[in-house]
Amino acid sequence: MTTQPGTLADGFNGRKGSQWIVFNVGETEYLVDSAQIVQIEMVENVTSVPNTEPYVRGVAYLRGQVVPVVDLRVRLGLPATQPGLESRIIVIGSSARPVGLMVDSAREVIYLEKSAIAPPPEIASASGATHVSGIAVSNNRVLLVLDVDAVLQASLKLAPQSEVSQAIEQEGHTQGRESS
Amino acid sequence: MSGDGHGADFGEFKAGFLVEVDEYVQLVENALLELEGDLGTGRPDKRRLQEIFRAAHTIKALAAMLEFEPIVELCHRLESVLRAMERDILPFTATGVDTLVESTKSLSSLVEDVRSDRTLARPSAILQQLDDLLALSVDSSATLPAPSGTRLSDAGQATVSRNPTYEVRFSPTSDLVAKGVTINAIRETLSRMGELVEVRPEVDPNSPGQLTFVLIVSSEADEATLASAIGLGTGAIREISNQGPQQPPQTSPPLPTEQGRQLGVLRVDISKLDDLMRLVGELVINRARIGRAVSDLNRTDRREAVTAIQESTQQMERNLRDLREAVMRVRLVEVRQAFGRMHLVARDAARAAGRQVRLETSGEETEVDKVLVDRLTDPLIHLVRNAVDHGIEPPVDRASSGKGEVGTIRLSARPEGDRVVIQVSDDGRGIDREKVAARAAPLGFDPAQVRSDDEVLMHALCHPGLSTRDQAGRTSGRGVGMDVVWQRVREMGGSMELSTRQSTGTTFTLRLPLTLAIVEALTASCGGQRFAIPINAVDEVAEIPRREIVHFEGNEILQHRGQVLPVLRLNRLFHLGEEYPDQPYLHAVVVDAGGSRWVMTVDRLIGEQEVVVKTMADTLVRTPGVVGATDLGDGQLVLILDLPELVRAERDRHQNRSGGRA
Repeated sequence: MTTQPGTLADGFNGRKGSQWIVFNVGETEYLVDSAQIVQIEMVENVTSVPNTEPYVRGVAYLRGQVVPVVDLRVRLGLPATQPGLESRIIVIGSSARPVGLMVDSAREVIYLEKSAIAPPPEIASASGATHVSGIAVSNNRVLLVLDVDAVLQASLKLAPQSEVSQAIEQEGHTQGRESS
Repeated sequence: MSGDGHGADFGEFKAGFLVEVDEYVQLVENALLELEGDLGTGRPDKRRLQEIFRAAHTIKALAAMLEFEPIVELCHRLESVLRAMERDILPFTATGVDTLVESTKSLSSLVEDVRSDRTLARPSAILQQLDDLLALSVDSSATLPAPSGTRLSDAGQATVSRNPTYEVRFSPTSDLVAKGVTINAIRETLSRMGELVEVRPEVDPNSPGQLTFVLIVSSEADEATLASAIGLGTGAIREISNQGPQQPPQTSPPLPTEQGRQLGVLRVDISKLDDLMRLVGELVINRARIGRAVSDLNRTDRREAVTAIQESTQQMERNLRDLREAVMRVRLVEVRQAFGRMHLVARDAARAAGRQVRLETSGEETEVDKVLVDRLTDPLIHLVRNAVDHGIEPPVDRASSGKGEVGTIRLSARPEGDRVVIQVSDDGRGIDREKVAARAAPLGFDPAQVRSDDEVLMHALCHPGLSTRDQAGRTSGRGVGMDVVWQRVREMGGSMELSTRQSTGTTFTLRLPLTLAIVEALTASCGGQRFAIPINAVDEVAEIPRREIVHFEGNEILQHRGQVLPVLRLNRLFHLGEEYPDQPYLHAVVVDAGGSRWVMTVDRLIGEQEVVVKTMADTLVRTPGVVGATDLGDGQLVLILDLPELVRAERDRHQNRSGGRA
């Protein structure tokens, strides 16, 4: 089943700013620019691939393509859980290379002016939370803008495995402290 | 109608033009390189000159058909020079050969312009060079009169008097081309059936743009036979024997007809097509059988009809499988195509870098899917250039290290199971690990690992951010190309390995699938997950009693049919649970991993079926032993295993461990 951001957005016609998808990972609400999104899918039929990074959930067959699926919970340092009915795969199309991001839910489309997004606070960037590129406050909710490229870039890094996993552990550590 | 003055069928012609011209250009390139080898003797091999001449002539005719004037002009000039050389009135010099090589480059860049729909510019500089060269001829009569026709045979004179001579007129149309009636096909057929004396293009003033080829042939066959052989009506042929003998001009090069035919424009072996036809025939018969059985269903003998349908269905399944294989075979071409081009690449790179290089090739006859051969060319160019620029040392250095001034680059291909192994190796200085380690450190690579581990070294080299460019040649800074090479190889579903030794040389090993698309595979289940195992890699399927597995220094081995084989368990390699831990037997396949046989156990073998291979090139999910994935029809992807690769990875891991690395 596919949810088209466009159809969701119909009710928001006339709003100013660009369209953002709100999704949850754990308790945190994130934003991703809808222009980066190819499609949003229910989590079905993800085949796990052995000997890959812990945050790689596996591969899914979407629209005739084999798409790698990254478990964003694990990528952002939370413990893995079984996907539920709310879970979604957000397929990001970065430079013709589709990657699915598995999130806990993705239900909402909002419109935000660029000016409504502030740079991430010092404290976050100092602690190495490079996966957030900005912060927006909307109706008393704090929304973090996911830096998709950073998330995928770091995953792509061809460094020896030990370093990557170290980096993830560190990040997970930081993330854990932040959310507690 | 398109606005450029060409007809609607221009695109069709253009595609055909490109296919043919590519072949001829390559042929010219290769022949020129061989010609260069003749420089030492001071005398050109005349047969080679003729070969190049004919190729240039064919390109000219094809280009004339589509009114690519700059190509026509360039080829014409080339012909003049070649003819002068062939007649020994133009000295055979290095400069001369160089000019020919440069013209060929200019020619291929014009062809590229055609391919990308760019406007063709007159290559004035190179035309001037050719003219200057021609001016050196001792007898200026070598220059061809005008781009008209060429006499192809002077050996035909005797034949002419014995056999009747015919004039064949052929005007290409898209309909005829679609039926396979092309100037080349006709030329080939005629030269097989008799002596082809002349081929000349003619333009009909009434319909400009429409080209007519006039072919003069002498043959013992009669008009009707000739006409039907070339697929034209008898109206296209008339006998002209009585109009006096065709006086072959002295300037014409003799034509060894057999050679002319080898100019192999990507052609399909007739026997392969016959196979296809036969299979299609069988399918038609089967369909009729089913039709009959279905109509029988309405009558009394239902059971017989059902049996007949079942049998026919089975038969059809076999036919379809055979048909698929036959089509695959048609798609296979020799890697020779990709390899051939590398001689020129190596030569150019060697010149630019001031190296002396010999390129040796082997296994050119290895057959690979046409698409793969095409995609292979770019990565090969990079690897060969890199080998010259960064591998082979300057002649002085080589001499002082006792190596011999001429460096060797070896390009080889061989099949291995359902893959093809392509190696590019040089006997140069080897990759400077220290330098790479230093540059890769800021990119997050552990310098110690870059120094000690070839795989990490290769990852570092292929990192987009790395380029050890201080020695950089004009053609490549190693690193710039390497990330692209690796990406291409992965896109093709292949893998790459590197091995390098200081002052001994470097070898890149590419493993690529022979075909894209479909493979016959065993389906197996392991730890609750299904896998597909391409059957080509499997020697046999076996059931192994657990108690026969012997533990041996942390490994497992097994005596099987009198051989002691190492045992690998897929569950363990992939960290999966076991489905039937209490079962006394294990299901297994025996794998041939490049010479050594291994036993790979799984939980259960399910069956055998054809699977469509989708490659998994993304770094996130690239893992040794998995070539791709397939959908068995239920939307759940099933991983396709490359067992030989898996075994190799495991073996290397063992060797590294026993080699003292923690």
